[in-house]
Amino acid sequence: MSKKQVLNGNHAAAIGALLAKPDVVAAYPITPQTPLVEYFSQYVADGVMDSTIVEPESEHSAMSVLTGASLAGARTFTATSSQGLSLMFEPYFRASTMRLPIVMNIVNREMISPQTVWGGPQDSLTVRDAGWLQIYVEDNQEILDMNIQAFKIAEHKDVLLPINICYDGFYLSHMTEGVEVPTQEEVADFIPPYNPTHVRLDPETPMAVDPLTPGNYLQYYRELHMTAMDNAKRVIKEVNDEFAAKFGRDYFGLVEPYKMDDAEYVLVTLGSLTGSARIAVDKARENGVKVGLVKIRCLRPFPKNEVIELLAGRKAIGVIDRNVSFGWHTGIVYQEIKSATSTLEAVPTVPFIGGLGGEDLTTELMSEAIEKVLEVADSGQVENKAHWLINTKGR
Amino acid sequence: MRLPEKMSSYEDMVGPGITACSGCNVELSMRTALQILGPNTIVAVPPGCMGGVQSVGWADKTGMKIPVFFPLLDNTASMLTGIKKYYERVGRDVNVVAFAGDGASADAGFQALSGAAERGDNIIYICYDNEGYMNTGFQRSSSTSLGSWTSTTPVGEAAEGKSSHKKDMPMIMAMHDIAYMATASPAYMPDLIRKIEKAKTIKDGLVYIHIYNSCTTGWGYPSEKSIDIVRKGVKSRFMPIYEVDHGKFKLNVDIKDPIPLKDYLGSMKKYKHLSDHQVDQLQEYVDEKWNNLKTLCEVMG
Amino acid sequence: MTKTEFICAVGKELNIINTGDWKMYPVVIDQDKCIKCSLCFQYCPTKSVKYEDGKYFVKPDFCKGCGVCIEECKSSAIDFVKGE
Repeated sequence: MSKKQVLNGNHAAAIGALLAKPDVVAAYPITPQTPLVEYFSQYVADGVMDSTIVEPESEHSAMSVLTGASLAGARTFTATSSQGLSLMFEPYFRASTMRLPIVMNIVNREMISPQTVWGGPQDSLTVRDAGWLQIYVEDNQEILDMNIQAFKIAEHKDVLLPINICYDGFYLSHMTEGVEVPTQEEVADFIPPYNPTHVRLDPETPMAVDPLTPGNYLQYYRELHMTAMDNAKRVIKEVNDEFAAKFGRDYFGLVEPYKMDDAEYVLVTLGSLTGSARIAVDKARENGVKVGLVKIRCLRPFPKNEVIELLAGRKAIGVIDRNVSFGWHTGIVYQEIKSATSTLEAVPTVPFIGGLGGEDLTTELMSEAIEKVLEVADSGQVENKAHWLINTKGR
Repeated sequence: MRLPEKMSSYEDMVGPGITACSGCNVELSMRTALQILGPNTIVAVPPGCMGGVQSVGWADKTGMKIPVFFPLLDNTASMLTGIKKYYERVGRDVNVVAFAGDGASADAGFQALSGAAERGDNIIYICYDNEGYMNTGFQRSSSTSLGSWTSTTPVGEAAEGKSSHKKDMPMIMAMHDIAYMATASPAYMPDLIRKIEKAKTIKDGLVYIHIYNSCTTGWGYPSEKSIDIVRKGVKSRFMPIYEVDHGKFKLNVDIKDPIPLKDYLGSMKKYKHLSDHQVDQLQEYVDEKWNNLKTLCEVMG
Repeated sequence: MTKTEFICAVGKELNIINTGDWKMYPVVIDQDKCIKCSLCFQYCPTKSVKYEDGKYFVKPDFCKGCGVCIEECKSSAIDFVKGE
């Protein structure tokens, strides 16, 4: 019988890992992920979590230890944020290209400079092309549930790719909510054991791993990786549905629509800022404006078909980015959406940027975004750069 | 069992044909070490000479009869830690070994190695020290000795080779208080063999073996002198052969009457430009290191 | 498109390069002069010097002709065999 507990996001992630029973865990503490490492360290120290822990001396070594353990056949788990993610980029790219199903939480945090510790998906979005699966979650229940689903998705024989569960630093990591915690037995029943044969460092089955490889083979392995990403779209939905059937919580797979049936105007969001956006959508609806919302859950692989289906035929769209793409003067999710909808008849799409470095993205700012989207639908004119949502309260 | 009988009974774990330079004593060291470590071994060969000569493999073929892989240049020790932790967890005693150049050990990979040493991870880390990134054209490493010509510390009007001394990796690793540290030379084979055999028996921490190798193409000497060069290195006290077993220092090859350092330096092209001042600096370095070592052997023997 | 049974960069079959072709002349140990000091056996980088039935001899398949055994031999029993 599952129990309801009051947990912050980091704690929820640590419990998700505990239930999934990884063999080897290695994580380097970094704000705002640190409590996650402390929670599972205490679980291991208490004998409650039977995982082998390595205390690495940096994030680069954390990911290196786990790529080694995963090559030996271990189920592996870790977490990091911003600077740690960029420090481990070298083995991070390798984990996906060696097809190692490592589960890593990214407690989303802004990238330095300026010196910052506050939440935002700049870190994980910047490395979106490194071949990992990336799912962005919205609340602490989802954090726990996705940490369970993550192992099943990543270790699936048609996928065999590492996965990031991304959740906003401080907004989710340090905020407490009521969370249903499944039992160990329920989770053991849900995730099959991991026993890889595609790549294995074992004297009983000797092989070379990652020999120097000429281009024709490299190109072939890249194509297989792309195909595995395509398969992941199907597997993520399957695991979502299996989880819903067993545990009673459905996360809609790759995207989550809100009031989209008759929507003329759409906000597209990512992560926990969706909560404020939904409130603004409801307010607009009260005033008779037919606004809907599409939350991108799975960024990699990108849910192109779902996005096309949901956004076709609308009057105008606004994409809320809590991140930047230097050189384009827009956010990153905006570009992904524009790329996905490029085959549709052009719908005016406004790039919004706001909430950087810990700034609030208030419901008022979301309403401002909706106003701008309506304006653009009328005029048909979209500027060449993002509309910045600036919080002027208390300034 | 006598050494030739014993070594003949150990199968060569490396594929018979690898493209190491003719006469390379790193190839000699690698084959010998892996013979002793045997088939129950997983070996990491980071980018460098041995990786470059296809000992890891090519395309979809392997270079060894045991599991072998390329770590990244800077994470050999960390990857090995992960592998060893898994095998300890499932109760299998597997040799988890690095065969890494000085570039991967003293420079980019040093942090990982230091971390593994501090944690006491039970890996056997063998560093082959040929004083530079030789595979890619002889660039300097922190293990390159003072005055050496390298492609990134070249000799010209305004510069005379590397301006800083050789980083003392063996002593640094000994000061991490690891389970077993030893230096070795291909010219002193029975001693090298004994040390690899000992490494296999250590279960309570990190083992670091530092082999003082040389490089016929990068240092500039004829291939047949490959053993002679490193023998001179030992006999001039430039390459001290000692071990530190759980903190106890022991000098294995005591050179009571060293040959002049100039004999060693003069036998290869990379030092041919040396000024008298540089030779003095090198002699001072050798003397100080030797005296410190003798003291440590007395005080911590 | 290159096909292989693998989904990522691994290798199972042994990769062998014919380094025996590198040498200009074969290397031979004169058994009459050999004093069985075993240094050639200890120092051969390619492990081409074999020890069987109490004798040391050079297996030519992968010998690169580096000359270390010739240089180190204590009784000058090893040499390149030039000419016919």
